[in-house]
Amino acid sequence: MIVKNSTQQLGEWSSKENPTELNIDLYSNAIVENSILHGISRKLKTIFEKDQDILREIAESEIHTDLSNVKKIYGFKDNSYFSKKTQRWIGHVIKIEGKKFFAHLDDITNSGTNEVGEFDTSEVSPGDLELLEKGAIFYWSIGDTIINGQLKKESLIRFKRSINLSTVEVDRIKDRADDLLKKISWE
Amino acid sequence: MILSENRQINELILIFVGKFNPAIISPYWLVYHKLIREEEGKNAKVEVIHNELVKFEIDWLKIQVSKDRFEFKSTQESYFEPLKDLAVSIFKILNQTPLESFGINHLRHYTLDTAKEYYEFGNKLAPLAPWKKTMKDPKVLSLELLDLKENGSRRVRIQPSDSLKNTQNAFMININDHFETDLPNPQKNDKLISFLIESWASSFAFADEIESHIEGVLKS
Repeated sequence: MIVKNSTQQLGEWSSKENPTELNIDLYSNAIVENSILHGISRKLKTIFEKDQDILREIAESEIHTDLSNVKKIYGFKDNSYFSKKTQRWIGHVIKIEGKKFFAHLDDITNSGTNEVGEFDTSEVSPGDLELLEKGAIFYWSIGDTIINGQLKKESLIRFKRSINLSTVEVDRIKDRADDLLKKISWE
Repeated sequence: MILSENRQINELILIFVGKFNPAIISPYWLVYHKLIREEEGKNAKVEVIHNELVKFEIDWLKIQVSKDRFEFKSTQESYFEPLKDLAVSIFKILNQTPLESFGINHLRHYTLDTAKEYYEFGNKLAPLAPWKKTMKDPKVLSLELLDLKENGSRRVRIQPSDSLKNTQNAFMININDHFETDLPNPQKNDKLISFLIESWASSFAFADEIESHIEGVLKS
């Protein structure tokens, strides 16, 4: 989608030159070539046709050089939730005793320091309790957050979620075995 | 002045370039693979789920996927590590998805106290005196530097903040830490994911170094 009324002569942003760079520069220069939507802007208009307000916004933003509307619809929304300053650690659970657990803490913010910390299981989010076990890894952070303009102090524990490569490998092997089994004709 | 104390927003955007099937990626798919909490999936705000574009967000993360680009974004430092874990896990599950390259983008937004300080900052980055011979009142709009490295490149761009548009004297440092490899698929995928895991901490260290350097420029 290209905003046509800009009087700036700009080189076309080339995804080949730096494809992993977020092209915010184009937003601020009032020319948008959004490779994501280049081929499907019409399809999106069809989807949005049910909501005439959004469609009107799209039409207006295509001729205006102010891209704040365009960015809202096609790009990421304006920040309303962001960190101010945080202190962060990676924890490794070493012991669980009743309603408490103990962990080695590696300081990410000021690397080189590590300590042992004691935590209450009530500090763990319900959705993460199943992950609490000896050897589990979690991220702990303390700091300020701004939520829609309101400053909030928070302490946050989040357990690491990652695919166990061996589990994925096992599934792949199972699938492959199933495929092979299907090809065998038993007599 | 300690520049990090003037930092208002710290954004992390991870961008992968490759060939994707956007429709696979949904909050429900992430919950199914236990990559996010069930509650997060249930409360996700989904904007588009389409064969060519998927866009949704949960509390701490925004995901946008097209046929050739996969973007993860967070503005909450507490979730930068989980964002990396999520990306690694997704591409381990989708190990048949061909990746071409990826970039770790650090976007840090700052405010300076006075307009004079803001003007002088630009002047120190790119001296304006030579331009005053031909221009009336030149000001630095943006500065971009490129550095090549073994597995890619690094771009540093300093420009007015696009997230603090209504705030005076605001600028941003946009660092693109780009990774690529000449290996053919399927080794390429494994190599790129290894780069992501191994280079994570050093990418942040580099962003911190740039911040310190800018602080030095401001103090000079």
